[in-house]
Amino acid sequence: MLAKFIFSSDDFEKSLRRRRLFALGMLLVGITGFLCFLFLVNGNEDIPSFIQGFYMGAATGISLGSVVLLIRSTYLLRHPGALKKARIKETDEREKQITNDAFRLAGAVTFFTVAAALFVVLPFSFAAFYALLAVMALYSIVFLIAGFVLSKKL
Amino acid sequence: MTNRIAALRKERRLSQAELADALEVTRQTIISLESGRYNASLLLAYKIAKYFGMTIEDVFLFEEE
Repeated sequence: MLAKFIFSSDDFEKSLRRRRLFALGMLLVGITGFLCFLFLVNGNEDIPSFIQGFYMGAATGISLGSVVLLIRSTYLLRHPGALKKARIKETDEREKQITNDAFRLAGAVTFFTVAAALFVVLPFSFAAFYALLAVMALYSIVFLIAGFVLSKKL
Repeated sequence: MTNRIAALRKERRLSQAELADALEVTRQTIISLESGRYNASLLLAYKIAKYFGMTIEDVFLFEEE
């Protein structure tokens, strides 16, 4: 729903303006991550180094992604030629089908990989086992709900 | 499903890029349609037929097995 609201291409310019707001929101999340890293996590010997690395990595990734989205959206809104090209690229039905097929394939591969990983992680970590099991359960529930909703909609 | 898009485009001396621009799709979509690797949706088929001033049946040929 949120993705459709932000990235819907019915009115591409409106969608780009929404993306800029989304990028600013995500930038705030990234900055919050940096601040948490600097004032809560960094240098704290009670917190393992991989958690410190997670904070730094996640904050950097989210911030960089947001800045790229912000710059791209702003550039497209100011350059009509590039805007038209990007609009065609995003609304092209073949491109949409490629994206949908890629998502479907990635989803199937992830599901079966996680199923196989359950057998591997069980002897080593209950926490990892339950986390993977939760991912599979969530995937299955979302799949059933999405199927139900789409069957009513289409 | 086969189609006459390439023939109709060449008759009108259009490049793939020009046709793609007129139909607001990517050039790669035109290439895939012409080579038969991709079948157009009903909406795009209608747009293509309308662009050439023909009916969908004139542009797209359904071959029953």
